[in-house]
Amino acid sequence: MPDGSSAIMPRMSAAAIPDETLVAQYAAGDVAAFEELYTRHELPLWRYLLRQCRDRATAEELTQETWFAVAREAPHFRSDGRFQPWLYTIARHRVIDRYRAEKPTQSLDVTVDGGEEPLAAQLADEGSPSPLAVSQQAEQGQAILAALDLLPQEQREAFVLQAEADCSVEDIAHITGTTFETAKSRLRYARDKLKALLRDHAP
Amino acid sequence: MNPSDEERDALTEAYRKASAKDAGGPGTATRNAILAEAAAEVRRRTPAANDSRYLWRGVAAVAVVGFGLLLWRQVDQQKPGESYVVAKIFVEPEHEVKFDLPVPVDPAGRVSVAANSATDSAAGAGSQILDDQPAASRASAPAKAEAAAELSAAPALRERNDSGRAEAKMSATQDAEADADALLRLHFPAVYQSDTPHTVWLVQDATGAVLRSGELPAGRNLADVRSDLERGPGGRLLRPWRIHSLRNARGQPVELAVSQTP
Repeated sequence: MPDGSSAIMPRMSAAAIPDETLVAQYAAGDVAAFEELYTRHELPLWRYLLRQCRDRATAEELTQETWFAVAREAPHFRSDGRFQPWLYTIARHRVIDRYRAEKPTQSLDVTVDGGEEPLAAQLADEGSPSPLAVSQQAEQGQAILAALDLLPQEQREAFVLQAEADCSVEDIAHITGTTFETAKSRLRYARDKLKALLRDHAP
Repeated sequence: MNPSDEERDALTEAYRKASAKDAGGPGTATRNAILAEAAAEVRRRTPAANDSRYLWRGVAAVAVVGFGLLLWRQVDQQKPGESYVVAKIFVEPEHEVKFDLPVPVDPAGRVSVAANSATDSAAGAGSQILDDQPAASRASAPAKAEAAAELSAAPALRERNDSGRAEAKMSATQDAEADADALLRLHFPAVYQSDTPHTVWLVQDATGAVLRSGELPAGRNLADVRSDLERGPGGRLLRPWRIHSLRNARGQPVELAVSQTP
């Protein structure tokens, strides 16, 4: 199994065959091409799903469902498309389907009672352990993960897509079905909040 | 505030290190399941033409269809004997008339009551009583009994012989005409050798024995007496009359009406 850094940056290998070529090869019946694709994107996709659902068992199921869908839909993959946004779009739809089936949804970006703070931020302030407590009880690495959990879902998703899958703002907008400006704003808010949490509550 | 590239890299790298240490990866079972499914998906998409499983499935399908066709042909082509017996079951009266009840009529055109008394019958023009020809009537009984036995054995044949109905029905019609011709020769020998047209009738019992018979006078036909007689011998309702249009030995037309007591 490749280590985390190589899997995080699958496109850094100049000698690697492009993902899109591997998809075409798999669609033509080359199972080894699928294995190569899976190896490249296994860990980034896993981490994305884990950060989204925050449960390992669910993340395992969603990982399996996502790759099953990739195998099933590979013959329909557009030759002029890009594999990575396609893969994460499939994964994101699986996450949405899972949570839509489990509980009623409400956008965490809505504001309540006329306040300016999004609902997610209010909930985080009220029900979650304080960032100070988090940072004091854990190592620095865990602190950043705990801080990430305090972000609104859309902001967290944008940050994880960039950090784990090295997605560009355009890719994030495409995967999440939003505009470039919205994706860019979410990413900026996420980073600002993370830095503020880590700075204010660092030991 | 837009973060600088340096700040973004520091934050991202800090996150990546923490995430790599924390998250691990999906289990081996998940990996194996995914790769197995990918291989299975390829097999599903490209069923090999030379795969022996598909070859044998095709052979089996052809064999089943062939066997079905063979079975159908076997059922469709009936043996002559079977067709005849089945015909006895499905034969229906070709000229069934419920109202034409022929009875002896005197020369004056008055409807007689010959069916109710031997004296009256003898007085009726051309009427004949069964008792006048007992041997002849009894002679036809064994043949009818044999036919009845065939009928009782027929239901099983009916189930396996539907496709032969049309042919059998045609054969049965011919048989019925032959039977009528035999009745005419046996019970109306004079009519059978006559040079003029005749209209005759007879009533049988359930075994086929002829109970009564008679002839309508010239110029009278079966329809003329329909309103006069609704009942047969003894006042019992007769079964529907079957009218046979025959030719006698001289080629003269003869109408023979046959009915049975219930």
